[in-house]
Amino acid sequence: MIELDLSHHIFRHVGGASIDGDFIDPAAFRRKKKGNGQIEEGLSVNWVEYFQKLTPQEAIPPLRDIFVNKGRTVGPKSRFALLNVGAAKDAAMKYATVAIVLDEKDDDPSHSLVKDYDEALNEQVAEQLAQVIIAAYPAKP
Amino acid sequence: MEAALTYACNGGVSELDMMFNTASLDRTSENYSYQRWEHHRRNILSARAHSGSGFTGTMTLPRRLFEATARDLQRIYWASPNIIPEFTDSQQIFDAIQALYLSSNTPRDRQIADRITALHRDALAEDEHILPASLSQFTDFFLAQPGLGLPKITLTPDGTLRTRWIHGPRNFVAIEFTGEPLAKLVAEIPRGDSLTAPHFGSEPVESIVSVACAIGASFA
Repeated sequence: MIELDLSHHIFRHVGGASIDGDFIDPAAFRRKKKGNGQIEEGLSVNWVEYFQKLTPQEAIPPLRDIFVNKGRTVGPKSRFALLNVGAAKDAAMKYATVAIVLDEKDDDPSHSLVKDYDEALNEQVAEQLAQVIIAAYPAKP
Repeated sequence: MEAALTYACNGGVSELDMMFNTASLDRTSENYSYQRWEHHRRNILSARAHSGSGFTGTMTLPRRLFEATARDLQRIYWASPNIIPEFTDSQQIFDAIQALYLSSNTPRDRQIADRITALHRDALAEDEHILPASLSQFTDFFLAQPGLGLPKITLTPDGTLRTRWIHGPRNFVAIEFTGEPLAKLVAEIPRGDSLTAPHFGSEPVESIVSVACAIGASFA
């Protein structure tokens, strides 16, 4: 897996229920438990520069289409939180050294993962990542 | 059902009684226990009488209080193949909202009830749901803690409710209602000289406020 450039950016899709006003709950940056009780390998994010747009906002429509085509529900209040790769790694460093790598899928070529940190640090890393959100754009216009 | 609720919310009769009676009929038709519902109804009426909240059952309640629940119930009756779990979820939401509306700490608790209503709606829009055990724990906590301020309230991807009292950058306390005896406590407390003390732990719900206060957290 290729590590993303430190100057590049990632989007994390945040569900509407994780947002209260201008507050985004850091829990939205936690790796989830799967059906078998095991935690996800990494935190799913999307590589923004993949879309080759002038601004991050312009990457949202094609990214939303990818989500919809994958069967993901994109709620009316959900947002895409924008983070810089280098800032995210630096922030997480307080608790763990994380890798942010491209994990492209056929139906989601910009799919990436924040990974390589222990499950016990899930909460801590999530808090740190939420602190370096640059902006949060509505997932739906 | 929705029409009946709408009528009830418009006033002119005892809205709460109307709502309960209508719901009872629907529940009976779905083989739910009428006795259990009637017992619940009596408890609510009793709580209403002793709450001192001024809620009489003939006041016009905000229409939005019941809209989400009414829509959910209608959707459940006519669309869902999985009636009982979804109905249980909606019932829990309904019970929690009522308990908060009937509390003596009316302004804050009504804001919390409104927020839960909105969260329930947002969760359904994204195929998520509020974990009933978490909601129950959350409601009991706030009813027992009238002195706490209104926090930010969110739902985690795991379906648990999370509250956060934010006082500034790197200055907050958060409680996650797991539905288990231990709730999660997260806090960052300023200690002067630009230092911040982070805290990640789990505590019994009954003592979580006192533990948080002991480390310098504020719930204002």
